[in-house]
Amino acid sequence: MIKTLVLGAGHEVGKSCVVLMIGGKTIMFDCGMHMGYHDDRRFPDFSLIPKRGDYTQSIDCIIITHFHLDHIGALPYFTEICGYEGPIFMTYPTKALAPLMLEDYRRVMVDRRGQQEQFSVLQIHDSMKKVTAVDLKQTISLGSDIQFRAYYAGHVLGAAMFHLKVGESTVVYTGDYNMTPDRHLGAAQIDRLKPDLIITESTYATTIRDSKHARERDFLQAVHKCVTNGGKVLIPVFALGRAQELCILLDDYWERMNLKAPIYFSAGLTMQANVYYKLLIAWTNQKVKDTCITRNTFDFKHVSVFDRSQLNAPGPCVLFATPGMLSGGLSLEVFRLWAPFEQNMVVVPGYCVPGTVGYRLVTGKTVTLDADKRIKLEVRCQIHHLSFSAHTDAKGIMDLLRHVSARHVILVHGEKPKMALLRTRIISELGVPCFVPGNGETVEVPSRLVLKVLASEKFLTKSQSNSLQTSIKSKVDDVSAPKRHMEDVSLSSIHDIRSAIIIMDKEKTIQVLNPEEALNVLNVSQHNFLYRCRLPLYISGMNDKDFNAPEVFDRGPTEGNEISGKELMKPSKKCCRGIQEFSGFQQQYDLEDKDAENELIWAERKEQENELELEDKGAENERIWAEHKEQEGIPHSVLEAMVQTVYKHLVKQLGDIVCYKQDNCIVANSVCIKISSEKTQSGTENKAQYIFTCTWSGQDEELARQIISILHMMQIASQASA
Amino acid sequence: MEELVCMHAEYIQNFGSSSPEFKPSWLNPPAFQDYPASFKKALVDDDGVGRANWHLLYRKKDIQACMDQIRCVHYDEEISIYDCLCIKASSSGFELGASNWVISGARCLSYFSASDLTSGHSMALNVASHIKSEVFLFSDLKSNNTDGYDEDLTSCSVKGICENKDKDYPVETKSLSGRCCGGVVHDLLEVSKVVLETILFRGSVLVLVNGIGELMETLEVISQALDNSNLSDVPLFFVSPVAEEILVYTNTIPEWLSAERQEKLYAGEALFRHVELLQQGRLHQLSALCSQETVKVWREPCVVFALNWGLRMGPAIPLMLKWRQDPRCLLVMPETGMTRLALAPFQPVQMKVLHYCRRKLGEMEVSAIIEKMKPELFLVPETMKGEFPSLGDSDSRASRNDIVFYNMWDILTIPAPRYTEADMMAEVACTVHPRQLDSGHSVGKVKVRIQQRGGKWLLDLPKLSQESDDALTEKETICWGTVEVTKLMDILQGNGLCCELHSEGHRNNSEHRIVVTTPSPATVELGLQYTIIETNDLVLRKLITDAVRSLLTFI
Repeated sequence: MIKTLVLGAGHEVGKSCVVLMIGGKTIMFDCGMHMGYHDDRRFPDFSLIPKRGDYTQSIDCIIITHFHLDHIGALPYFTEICGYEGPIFMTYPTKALAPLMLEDYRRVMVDRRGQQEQFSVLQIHDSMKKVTAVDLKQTISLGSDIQFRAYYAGHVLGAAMFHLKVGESTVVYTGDYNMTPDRHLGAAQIDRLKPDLIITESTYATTIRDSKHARERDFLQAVHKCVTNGGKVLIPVFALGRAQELCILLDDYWERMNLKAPIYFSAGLTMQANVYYKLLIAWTNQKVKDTCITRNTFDFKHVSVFDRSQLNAPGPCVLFATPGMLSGGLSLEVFRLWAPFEQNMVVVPGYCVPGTVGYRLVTGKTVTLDADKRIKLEVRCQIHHLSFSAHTDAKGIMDLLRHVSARHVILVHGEKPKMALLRTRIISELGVPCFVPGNGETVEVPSRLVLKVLASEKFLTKSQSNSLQTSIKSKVDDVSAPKRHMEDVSLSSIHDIRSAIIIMDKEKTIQVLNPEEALNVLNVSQHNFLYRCRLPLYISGMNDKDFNAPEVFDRGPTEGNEISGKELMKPSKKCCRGIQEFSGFQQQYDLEDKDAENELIWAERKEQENELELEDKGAENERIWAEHKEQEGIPHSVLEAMVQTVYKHLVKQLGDIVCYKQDNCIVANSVCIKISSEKTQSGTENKAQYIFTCTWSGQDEELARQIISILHMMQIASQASA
Repeated sequence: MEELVCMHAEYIQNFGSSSPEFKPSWLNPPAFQDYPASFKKALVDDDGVGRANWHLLYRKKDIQACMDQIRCVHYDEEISIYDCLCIKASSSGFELGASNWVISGARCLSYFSASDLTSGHSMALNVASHIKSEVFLFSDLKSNNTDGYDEDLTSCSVKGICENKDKDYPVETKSLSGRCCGGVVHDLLEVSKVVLETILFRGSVLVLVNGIGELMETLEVISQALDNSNLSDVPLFFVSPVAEEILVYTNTIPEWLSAERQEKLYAGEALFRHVELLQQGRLHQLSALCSQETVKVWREPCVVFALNWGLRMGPAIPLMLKWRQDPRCLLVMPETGMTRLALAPFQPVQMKVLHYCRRKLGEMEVSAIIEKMKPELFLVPETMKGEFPSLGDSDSRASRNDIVFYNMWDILTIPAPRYTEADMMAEVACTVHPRQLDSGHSVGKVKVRIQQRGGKWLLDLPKLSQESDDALTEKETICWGTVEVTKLMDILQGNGLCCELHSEGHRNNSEHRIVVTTPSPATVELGLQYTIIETNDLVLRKLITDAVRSLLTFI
C-alpha cells in the first residue's frame, strides 16, 4: 500500500508538502510555505507525520522539486528549528538558487514588514549544507529500498519531477511543471513510467490557454504603448524564474525596436541571480544553450540595476521588483507610488495567491485599495494580467497523465472547485481512480505486488532469441527519425507467452521452470500418455509407375508459404529431436520390432541416451526396414513415395503447423503418423493397402482429429479416383 | 574533433592538398615497385593492402552527423537498451564527463577505464554506483613497469632539475646539453615549480595537455604559482581553434565537476579561475598562432597551453620549431611512452622536457576497491600480473579464483547463472493452483507473459487477446508416475468394462496390454513411462483416460 499524507497544497496553492509512506519508508516531497498566511498556517503541520522518534527517524528523506518558496520555504524551519537531520535532495540549480529565494523572503519579512524572522541567514546556510544535489535522470539509491530519479519539469530553472521507487511501489511526484517551452526553459520531459501513483499539481485545472505567442505579443505591445506614453511599468516578480523569462523577452524586444527607456532590476539580488543562470545554462532550453557560446542570453544589454533614487525620477521606465504578487517589500512600495497615475501600468504575471494585493488586482474586486490599513489608495493605473504562468494548463495536465499512465492520480496544488472538475475528467477520460485530498488527509492506494522468483535460464531463453530478434527488428524499424530516442520505442515490451511450472520448495524459494526441467528438479520422469488410432487406407489403381514418376516430392513444399515463416527443420534424426525438444517432449521414434507391426516405442529420455549409439541404431533400422519391405514384396520406393504424397498433402492442409517427415513417419507436434504397408489378400495386383497408425498425446487431440479427417478424405478421394 | 579538422585544414593550407584521390602518390601501389624491400614491407601488410589503406579525415559536417547520433546521458542515468540490457555511466574522475560503465542484464558487469580517486576538476571516481556489479573489468591501470619508456627519459628525473635549482643556470645547460631531459611527475604542483623556474630564467613554457579538465586544472595551478611569485604579468595563452568555446563551456557544467568546484556554484562564483584570468587580461584565448590578435598580445616569456596532438600538428609545431634550440624553454607534455618518436622531427632538442602523468588506479587502489565491493570476479590486464602479488600469490589468498588476467583479443566467457532473478506479478501468483507433493515441494502450472524491462525479467499475466492465440501451448502438461495394472483393471472393471490382461509376449513385467472387448473394442498398452490407449469409441476412451489419469500425477 502507498499512503499519501497531504500536509500542504491540498485544495490550495501554497506550502506544498506531501508525505509518502510506503513499505515502512517515509519520504517527504517538498517542504513549502504559504505566502498568503502570516500565522501558524504558513507552514505545513509537521506534527501530523507518524512518529518514529524524532523527525530524523520518522522521515527517510526529503525531496524538493524546485526553489519556489511554496515548495522550499519551510525547509530551513524544518531542518533548523524542528531538527530534521536526514538527507535532503534537490537538483543543482535548486540547491544553488534556493538560498537566494529564502534569503530574499527572510529580508522582506524582517526588514520591510518588521516581523519576527522564522529563520536566520545562518540557518538557511546550515540547512542548505545538508542538501545533496542531484542531476537529471541520475538514479539515486538510498539504502537498498529507496530509489529515485529526477526528470526535467520546465517551470523554473532546475525544477524537476521525481520518480520514486520503494521496493516495487512506484510514485511520480510532479511538483510544478510546464508542458510548453518558454523563452529560457524547455518543456517537461518524462518517460512512460506507468507508476502506481502520480501526484500532480493542478494550478490551472480547468484553464486552456491560447498560444503563448499571442500572449507575449500582447504583453510587449502593452508595455511598449505605456512606455511611449511616458508611463512607468511595474512588474512585480519573484527574483528567479519569471523575472528572467520576461527580461529575455523585453531585452530582445528593446533590441529589435531600438527602444531607449531603461529596464531596471530591483536590488542586486536579481542581478546576482543572473550570474547563477549563466552558470546553469545546461538546464535551460536548447536555443539558449546553443547561443551561449557567442552570447549568453542572461547577459542583458538593456537591463540595469535599480537604484532607490530612481523611484521618483521622471520619464518612462520598466521595473522588475520583488517580491511577486505585491505581497510586500519593494514591489508594494513602488506600487503605492505609481498606482495613482493613469499613464502607469502594473503587469501582474502569473498566479497570485488569495490574500495578496496582486490577487485583488487581478480579480478586479477593488479599485480602491487599503494597501496599508490606514491609507486608502486609489488605483488608477492600467493593470495588465499576464496569464504567463510557468504552470501547465488543463490540457498539459491531461497530456502528462495520459503519457505517464499511472494507475492512480492524486491532485494537489490547485483550487478545490476546479480540481473537482478535473477529477471528473480524469476519471471519465483516463479511467483511473483520482483523489483530491485536503490538508491533513491521507489517501491510500494499492501498489503493485511483485514476488521475487528464480527463473531458470533455459525457461527464459527458450524461444527468446526468436522473439527477441523480431521485436528488436521491429523496434529498429520504428526508429525512423534519428533524433528519436530509444526509450520511446523500447517500452513496448519484448514478450512472449508460455506456460511455466512453478515449484516452491521447503525453503519457500520459488522457481519458475520449463516442464522438463521441473521433472528433473522433482526427480521424476515424464509419463507419456498417448492415444492411438489405426487407419487402413486402400488405394487402388496405384502402381509403381504412378508413384515413381512426377509425384516424388523433395522437401520443396516445406519451404513454401504454408509453413508461414516458422523455420522448418530438415527431416533428419538430429533435427527431429530438436523439434521434439522444442515442443516440450523428448521422444524418439524407433522402428524396432519387426513382428510387432511397426509399433512405436517411446524411447527413454534424450539426456540418457548416447547419441552415437542412436545414429547407428537409426542406420541399422533403416537397413532392416528396407529389407523387411523387400521381403514383403512391396518395393521400398513405393512406400516412400506414398509417405511423400501424404506428407505433401498434410503440409498443405495443416497450414502453419510444423510438420516434418522421418523415415515412414510424419510428425506434427506430438502427433505421429506412421505409414506401413500390408500385403493385400484381395488378389488384385494394383491394389495396395496401407495402414496409418496415428499416435498422439492428449494436448494435440484437435490436431490429431484434423489429421485423421484429412487422411480419411484422402482415402475417399483415392477411392473415388479409382 | 573540430580542432583536429581545423588543423588538418591548416595542414592542407600549408602543405597543399595531396593527390586527387586524397592519397599521397608514394602510397599508390604502382609506386611500390621502386621501393626497397624493407620499405615495401612496412607499407604493405600480409593482406596486400596494409598501410596503403589511407583514410580520409572526416570533415566538419561528418562531425555534426556523428554528434547527431549520439544520445547524451547523465552520470548514473540508467538507460535501457531494447529492454534487454541496462547500461549506466558513472564518473571515473579522469576527465570532464569521463565514465566507467555498468552493464547489467543477466549479469552485472562494471568496466573501469582510466580512473582517478581524487580529481581537481571533474567529479571524482564513483565507486558506490558499482555496488550491484558481479564482474569488474579494469583497464588502463597505472603500471610500475617502465620497460616501455625511453631510456634517456628515465635517466633524468625531475628531482635532478629541482636539485639544480640553486645552481647557476649555465651549469644546468651543460649537464643537459644535447639531450632531451625529462622526468615523469604525477603532481601538478611539481609541474608548476618547474614552470616557475623556467619563467624565472626567462624561458617560455609550452604545456600540452590531453584533456580539457586537465587543461583547466593545469592552467589554474600554474597561474596560482605565478601569482605566488609575483609573476602575474607573465602572459598565458591558450591556443586552439576552439579555445573560446572550451573556455565558455567549461564554466557551465557544474554537475560534472568535483565537489569543491560545485561549492563555487553555490557561492555564485565562476567554476574555473580562467574566467577571472580572462577578465584580468592575463589569459588570452587565441584561435591560431598566426593572427593579428596574436601579434598584438604576444610577449615572451610566456606560458602557452595547447591540446596534445602528438607533436605532429596544431599550434605546438611552430612553437617547438621556435623554442627547441633554446635550453631555457620547457616543454610539458603528457607521458605516452612514445616521447622519442614524438620529439624525433625536432631533434636536436635543447629545451627541457617534462612529463606529466595523471594518477591512475594502481594495484593499491584496485585492491582497495575489490576489498570494498567484493565482486564475484574481476579482470585485470595480463601486463599487470606481476603487480598483483597481494592478490595473486600471497598465502592468505592463494586460493582466490576471482581474479582473471586478460590479454588483447582474448574472449573470456563468464558463466551465466543457471537461475536468474525475475519479478513475478502478484496477479500471476494468484492464478497458480499449487499441488503439495510428498517431497515437500509445491508445484503449480501457470501461463505467463515474459517481458524484459531494462534488463530485468518480468512475469506477467498474458493479455486476454494473446491468450486465445496460444491455445495449443496451454494444453501442454507434464505428468509422471506409473500406472499399476491391477489398480487400473480394478477401476475399469468397476466401471463395467469387460477387459483382459495380456502381459505375455512382452519383454518384461513392466509392460502390459489390456484388451477391452465390451462395450467396444479397445486396447491399453502400459509401460513404466508410457500409456497408449487405442479405441474408436470416444466415450470409452474418455472413461479409460480418466481411469489412467487418476493413477498418475498431473500438473
